[in-house]
Amino acid sequence: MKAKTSGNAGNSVRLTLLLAGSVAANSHGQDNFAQFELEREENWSPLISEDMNGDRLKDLVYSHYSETGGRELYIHYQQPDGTFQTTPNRIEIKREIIGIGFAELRTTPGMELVLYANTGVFSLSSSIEGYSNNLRPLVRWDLIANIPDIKTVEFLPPLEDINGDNKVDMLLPGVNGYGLFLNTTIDDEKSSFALEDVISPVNDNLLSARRNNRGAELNGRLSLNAKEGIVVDVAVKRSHPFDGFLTTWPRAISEEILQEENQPLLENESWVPNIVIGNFDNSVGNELAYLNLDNEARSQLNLRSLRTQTSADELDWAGALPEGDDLTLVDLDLDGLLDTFLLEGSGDSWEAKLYRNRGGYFNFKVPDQIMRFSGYDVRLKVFPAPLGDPTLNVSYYTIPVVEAIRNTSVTRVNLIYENNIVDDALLFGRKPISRQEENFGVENIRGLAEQLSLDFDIDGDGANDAIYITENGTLAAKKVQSDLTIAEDPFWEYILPKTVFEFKVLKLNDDEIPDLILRHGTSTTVLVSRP
Amino acid sequence: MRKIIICSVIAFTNYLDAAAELIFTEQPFQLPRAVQGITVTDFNADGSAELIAQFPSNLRIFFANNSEYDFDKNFIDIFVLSESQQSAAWDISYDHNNNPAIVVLNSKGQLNRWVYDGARFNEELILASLTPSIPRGLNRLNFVIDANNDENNDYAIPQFGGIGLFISDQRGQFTNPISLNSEIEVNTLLFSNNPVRDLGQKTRIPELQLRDVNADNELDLIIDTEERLEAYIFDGSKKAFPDTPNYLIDKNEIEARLGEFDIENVDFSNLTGVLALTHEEILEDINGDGIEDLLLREGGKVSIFEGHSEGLKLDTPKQILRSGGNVLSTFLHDENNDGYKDLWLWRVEPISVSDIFVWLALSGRIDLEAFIYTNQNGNFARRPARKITVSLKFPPVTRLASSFNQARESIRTATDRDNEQTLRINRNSNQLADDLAHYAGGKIEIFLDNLKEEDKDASFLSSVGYTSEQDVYEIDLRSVIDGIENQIDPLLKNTHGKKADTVIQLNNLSQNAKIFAVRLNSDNHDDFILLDALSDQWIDGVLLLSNE
Repeated sequence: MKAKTSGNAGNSVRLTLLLAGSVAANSHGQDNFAQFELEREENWSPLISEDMNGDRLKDLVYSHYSETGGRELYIHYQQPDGTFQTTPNRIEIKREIIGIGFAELRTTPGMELVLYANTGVFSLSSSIEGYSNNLRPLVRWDLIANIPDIKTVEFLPPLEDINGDNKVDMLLPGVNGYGLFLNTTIDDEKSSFALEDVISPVNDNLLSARRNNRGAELNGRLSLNAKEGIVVDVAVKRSHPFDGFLTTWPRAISEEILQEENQPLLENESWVPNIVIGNFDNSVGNELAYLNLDNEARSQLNLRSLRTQTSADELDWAGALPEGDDLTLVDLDLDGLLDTFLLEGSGDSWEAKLYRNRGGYFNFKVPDQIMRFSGYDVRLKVFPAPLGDPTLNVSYYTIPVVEAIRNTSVTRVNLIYENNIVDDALLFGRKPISRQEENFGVENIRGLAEQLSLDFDIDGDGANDAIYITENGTLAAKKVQSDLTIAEDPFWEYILPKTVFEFKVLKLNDDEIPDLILRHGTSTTVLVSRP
Repeated sequence: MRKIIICSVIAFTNYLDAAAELIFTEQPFQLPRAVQGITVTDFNADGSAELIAQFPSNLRIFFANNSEYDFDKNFIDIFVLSESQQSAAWDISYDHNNNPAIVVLNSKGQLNRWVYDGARFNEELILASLTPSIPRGLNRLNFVIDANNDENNDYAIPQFGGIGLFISDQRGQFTNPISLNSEIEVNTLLFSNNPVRDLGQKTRIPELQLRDVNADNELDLIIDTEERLEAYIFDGSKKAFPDTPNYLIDKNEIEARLGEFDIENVDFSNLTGVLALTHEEILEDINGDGIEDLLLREGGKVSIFEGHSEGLKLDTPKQILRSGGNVLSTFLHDENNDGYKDLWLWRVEPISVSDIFVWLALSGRIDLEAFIYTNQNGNFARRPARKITVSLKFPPVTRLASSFNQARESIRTATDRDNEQTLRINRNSNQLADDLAHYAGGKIEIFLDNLKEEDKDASFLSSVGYTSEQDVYEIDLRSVIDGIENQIDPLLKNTHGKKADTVIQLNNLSQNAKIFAVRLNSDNHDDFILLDALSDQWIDGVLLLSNE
């Protein structure tokens, strides 16, 4: 790990004011960023930002491994000037720990670490050295995962309030279901949780379907080896519920077993359907959503509110999903309730079906809107327009043959659909209100590193901006204009000596101005706004 | 219920050594749905195989009685897991007196043998080790091994960060365990915003490699992980492995020497240039003395280090060869049939980003070139004796993806009537698994001596039709993909136009059953186990036991 700090926006960093007028109107003194460059052996591994010492400045947290030190948690505390300590505080990650999350659980300022182990969850303060007189058990629970990785640790997001009582709760995946632990803390110094419910998202239909799964797997192999020379092999194998069910000892009597030369000492998988916590109706607190199968073996979405154990098996609502490859839960109309859309298709032909939350249920028989796109890697994102209306951004790639041959390029298409106010049946306009096409070839390939994002308000003026990586590998932003078109020219650009491949806009201090984490090939730059 | 099936022998005139009358005893059975797997083994060495069914928390051993199974009565349960014991692993072992035992490793690190005395199982503790890394539940773990070939059971126990190898002597005493840096692959997901993704964990522990690397007729231990290649050479005089490896190749050090991959510095006009950062470590006998030598490839540089009885001479390479271009891979194969393995060095032509953009929309080709350096009594010739070019032709990448999807979808939606399985079996008396069983439509067809031509493994470069006279070959990926949907099992190719020697029609199973060929009774012929689609409560199955 190497860290480099520069105190202000000088030297290698400069904010380029491309449209002085626009910046003058919109800037909030953000032409100064404190810059911190972090070099890690595993640059693309998770980099967490949480306020660990209660100074209202978010610190950088990540896991580090060395043969001598084993697994350690590194914390770079943010300093008042927006830079970070170059030498991290190190906390040993004990071998029993499988995952690490965060929560405010003690009266001491800052977040505590929430340690997820095989049979329970613990809290640990990063401000107290060592584990003795520091580690506190929170709950006993047999986690679905019980083997820690020798080199890494799984990071989980901070605990959140599930039942709406303003205290953080826990939903923990286990072998036989999820344990819902509600916060029963009375003495702030001693957090306590009680098991309120055990929720199993697995129903009999899902169990049967899993064991009778006849899915087809595509196996492609291009191999160079001494036994076969060169092999190009593509095969589709239809799986059978009893594949691998019968083995022999000593090994290898039947043909099936003979084929598997490198049998491992052990192979084991244990998975449960995910339960997503979200707001699906207007009641206090959140609801739980998960997928399994209905009686006709169709995927169904289950919604369930929190309640006592006496009525644990009751669902609020369940509905069979239409055929679709991917289900996304997102607030499409920005009413605070989660809606959903499904993407169905393949190759360059896709159909998005949008379903509005009808107050705790969905009508999957009739989509609220169907949209068709011809392109690859179709993505849908909702963002608020300058006046707060929900607006849909769709992006995808096309590969026009002529362009591909003549200019060796691909085209990225960005469409913006405005909120539909004319026809109440539709969520968004039938046609995009703006369309932007960009060609990418060898010269500007860096711009392909990440899709243009309308998720963030880079200048803090209350309106989301179009943030993208330029052909030079810098980060730039364009205004989303009042007519929802994207401005031709960027209003700011951040230039670093290293190419930016991924960016994240977030709040790392308590001012109103967004901060940035920029990922390069082998290092990461953290930019913290300065007043 | 049992019944005898006398199968119609349709054609046996050409196979007079085959049984003239093939009789199977059919025995339907049911197992509870909770059964997670079955291990077939002649546990009590009476010539008939026992069936060990693994339940979520116990093992049930179904004993064979005169090659008959009573699934209702003739079994013994071993209860392994409990409220306080939620993970364990099991394996099978035999002691010097050939007493069979189920060996159970529990989550506290206790190793217990459940020895079978012919009537019951008696439990004994044989070892208490550190807390092992075993996934939750009851796991089949192949951890009983004979690492030092002394006919005493040794134990490879997964522990945090590797394997603890516990070697025992004839008296059952253990030496200090050897800590091996074996890679335990763990893939965990405990949170996701995506409702479609499952949460949980996948664990895989690779098998230990035991082979004789120094030609002393003793098995040595090789650990090959992402970070290092280690060899523990068995000391025949001490009858023990050393505590530390005899030699170690530090792959991190090699990677540091080659330089870190940084996408910032990628040459977009030669993406294949990143191959200069790749490396390979191959342990094989190069000079013909039976001792494995080391071939180390770092980018285009190939170094040979000579092996000796106690290790490798790593100080000075015996030979260094350098190749320009983008070296993709190397391997050792005797090209000129002189008994020495020659060096095959594969290069790929430069590929640019422009090429990739074009290939998205149009078909393309990539040439792979193999340069063959002849092995001359342990040294490779300075210059290649031969160059072979293999052109890989492929359709537009976008079409490639949709063709794959189409093929997968078409096979996925195939009806159960299309359930077709082929098995290499031994039905006649020549001890070779050269007969074929073809199961389709609820019918088993047996073709005797059908696979004689297929006994050999796929021959070298057979996919391109290699001959020593031809230097240029082509692989057309389009035709490979086109063939996916009409893919015919290669084992069936010799059955074309032939009548089956035996046909068994099964009426009590759905057409979606899975067929296994195993030796269940003592007649030296493979028998069959068929497992049918699951009901809510049961796994339905049929045993087909051959009667000589």
